[in-house]
Amino acid sequence: MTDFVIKVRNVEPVHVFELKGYLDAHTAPKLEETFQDLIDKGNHLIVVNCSNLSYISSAGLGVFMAFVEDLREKQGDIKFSNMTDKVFNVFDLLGFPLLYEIFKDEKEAVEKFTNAKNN
Amino acid sequence: MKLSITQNIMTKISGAVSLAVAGVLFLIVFFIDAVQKNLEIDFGLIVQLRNLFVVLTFVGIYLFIRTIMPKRSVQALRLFGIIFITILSFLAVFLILRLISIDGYEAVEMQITPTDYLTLLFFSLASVISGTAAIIFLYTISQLIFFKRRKGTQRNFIIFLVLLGAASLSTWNLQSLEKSTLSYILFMGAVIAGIANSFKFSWIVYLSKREKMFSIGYSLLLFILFIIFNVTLSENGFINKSLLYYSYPLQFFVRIVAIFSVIYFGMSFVVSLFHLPTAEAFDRKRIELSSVQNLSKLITRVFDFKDLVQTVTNLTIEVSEARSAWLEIIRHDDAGGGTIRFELVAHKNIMPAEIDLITGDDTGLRRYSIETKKVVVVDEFIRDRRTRNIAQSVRNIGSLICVPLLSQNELIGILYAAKTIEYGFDEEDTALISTFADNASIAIENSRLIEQSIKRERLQQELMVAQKVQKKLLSQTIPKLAGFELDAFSSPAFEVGGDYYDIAILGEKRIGIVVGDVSGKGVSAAFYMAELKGIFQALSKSCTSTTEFLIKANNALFGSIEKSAFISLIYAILNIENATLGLSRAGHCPMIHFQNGKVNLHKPTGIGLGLTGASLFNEVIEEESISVGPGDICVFYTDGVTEARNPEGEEFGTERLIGTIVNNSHLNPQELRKAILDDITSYTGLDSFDDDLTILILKRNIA
Repeated sequence: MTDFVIKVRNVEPVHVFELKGYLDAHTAPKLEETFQDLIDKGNHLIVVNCSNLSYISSAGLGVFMAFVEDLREKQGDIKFSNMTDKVFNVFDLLGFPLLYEIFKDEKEAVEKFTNAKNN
Repeated sequence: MKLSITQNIMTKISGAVSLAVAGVLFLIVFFIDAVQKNLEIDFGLIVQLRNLFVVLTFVGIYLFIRTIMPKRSVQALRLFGIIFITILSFLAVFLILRLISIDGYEAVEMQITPTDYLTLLFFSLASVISGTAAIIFLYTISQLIFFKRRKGTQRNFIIFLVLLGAASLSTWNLQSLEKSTLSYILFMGAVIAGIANSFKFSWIVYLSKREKMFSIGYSLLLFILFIIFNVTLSENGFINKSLLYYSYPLQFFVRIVAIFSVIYFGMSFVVSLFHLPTAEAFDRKRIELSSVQNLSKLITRVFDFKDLVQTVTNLTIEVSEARSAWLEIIRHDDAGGGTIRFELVAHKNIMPAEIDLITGDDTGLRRYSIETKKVVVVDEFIRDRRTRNIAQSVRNIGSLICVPLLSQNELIGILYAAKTIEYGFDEEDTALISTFADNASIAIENSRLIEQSIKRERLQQELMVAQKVQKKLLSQTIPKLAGFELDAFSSPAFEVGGDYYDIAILGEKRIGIVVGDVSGKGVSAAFYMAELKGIFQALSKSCTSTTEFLIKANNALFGSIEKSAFISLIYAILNIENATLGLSRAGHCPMIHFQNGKVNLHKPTGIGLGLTGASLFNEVIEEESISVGPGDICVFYTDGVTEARNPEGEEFGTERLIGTIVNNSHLNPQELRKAILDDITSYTGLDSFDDDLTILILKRNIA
């Protein structure tokens, strides 16, 4: 149940988080740390690839809420991609699609960032 | 171990070498004497050289004796035995020599000269034997004097030795029958210094009653034997003649030691006698001091860890008469995967900076304690290989003891004590501190356990109180409604949870029904749940629509709760008169509406409370109006219901929930709720729920 892995890939200028497994109250601190680390190093463009995310709890959603405001103030953002229906359902119930951009494909999410930067 | 074995061999070799050198010197001297006897000429420089050889012979004998004597003898009675055997042997030899009456010598011009070789041999042997005996006596008595030595002890004894040496050497150029005033003044000085040194009887105090009895007997016996020894050295005796011939300095040396010995054992007899009446009381006192008293002192302090460790440190100083003491406790770093760290918890008469130097990792002391779990005694702080590197930076320490504190053979800490003098910790002290440390370990371990269980107990009690409070916030009497039935159930995963439901009577015909879920679990969720209750109670009555309430609730919460926290809520206002339900949702699970065998999921748009500001929240929030027909069932729930997992990790899910509702739609709300819970537990295979879980059911009566 507590299996949760984060992989961070650098797709200039975006950082892609690949989340795998269960993101709940036990594993949320791990994600929090990764976010903090990246932000401390001055990276503000983040795409979260959820293709392998099996479950997300309210505590897991809270992690994104904790950082998104800060990132947006610094012209950055968190965008999501590749959600399974189940995970999307959780996002959807809470109204997250109104707060975040969610893409079918990681590439689209990354392109959205790069396009915005070029314009 | 290996080191001490090689050390042992080294001392043995050096002892043997010393003895061999002494033997060779003795033979050389004997040879010179034999030649001189025949030639009757003044050898001049050779005589000086011969006398030097005599002195060196005894230096060699001394070095040899030092290697065969017990190193750190603490048993006074054993020392008595050595002296006893030595003097008896000496007197036996003397007796034999007396029987072979020797008179082959003549006294010419202040000079004794043997006339035959046999006499010369006997003279030489008698001299060496008495000199050796004197060295043994002096060495052994010095051990007794140095027992529990104080600052002045060594100084006083050295003064005595200097005077002894000065008196002896002042006779260097005297003829055997000459007298010198200076020599006799020095002789008297040495004797007086000897008397001054004869008041050190610390060893007697620490003897048990039985040992004191032995001490009295031995002292008396030795006193008598040494009087005999002195008599044998008298003016006209054979031994005295031998010594005078062989070496005037030696004669002085032997006589002063003989007088010193008589005085010392005479005093020893008297002092032992005086100590006898108090011996028993002293014995008892000692046991009391080291066990009952100190132990009870410790036991009363186990409820305060800081106080306990300070007491242990203070008592260590008391029992060992140390100058300073400190205590380090092992802390296990839970995160670091079994790494340990020493924490200085108490210290007295020493600065933490100094302690750092002494027990820092670059010295072997602490490591040695960890590895062996044995007591470490450093007798010579300046010279010991484990401490000499730091001796320059740390002053005022002569000797040191480290005692590991063990609990069930696990090292829990180390107790240290230090004295300014060297050899400050004898076996007695070591045993005392060890016993004391054992008691201290138990007390410290108990104290830790008590501290832990008190903390846990307190936390548990707090949680129980919180649980009671939260139950009060939830479980209210469900209002009786005309034409409707209501039931509500909530179960937290832990003692307290973040789920919330409430039912408020808003007006004569209007009922507010709310179900919510705070993000996260446990105590932090419970706080927000309580806040939510306050908001609902305060705002619901003044709001005419469900959206109005949710907007106000979001305004109250957004920005005031943690960024990562939010609340999902579903709010319905039931109008009893026209059986309609106004419904709004803020990020919560949909409401399940069962009507005429069919099920509708009502999910009006709305973002969770606390996630976003008024502009977006207010813009998107919707309100639905639902008419509730006879027999209709409305089910409100939290995600604890749908996210309950079976052993394979699959969720119970909305479909199963709907199925249960459809299959049990004939039941009243309370029965239906039980049916749902039964289905969940049989699905998960557990008796309890591992997530916060809430179900609220509203049913319109058929009639």
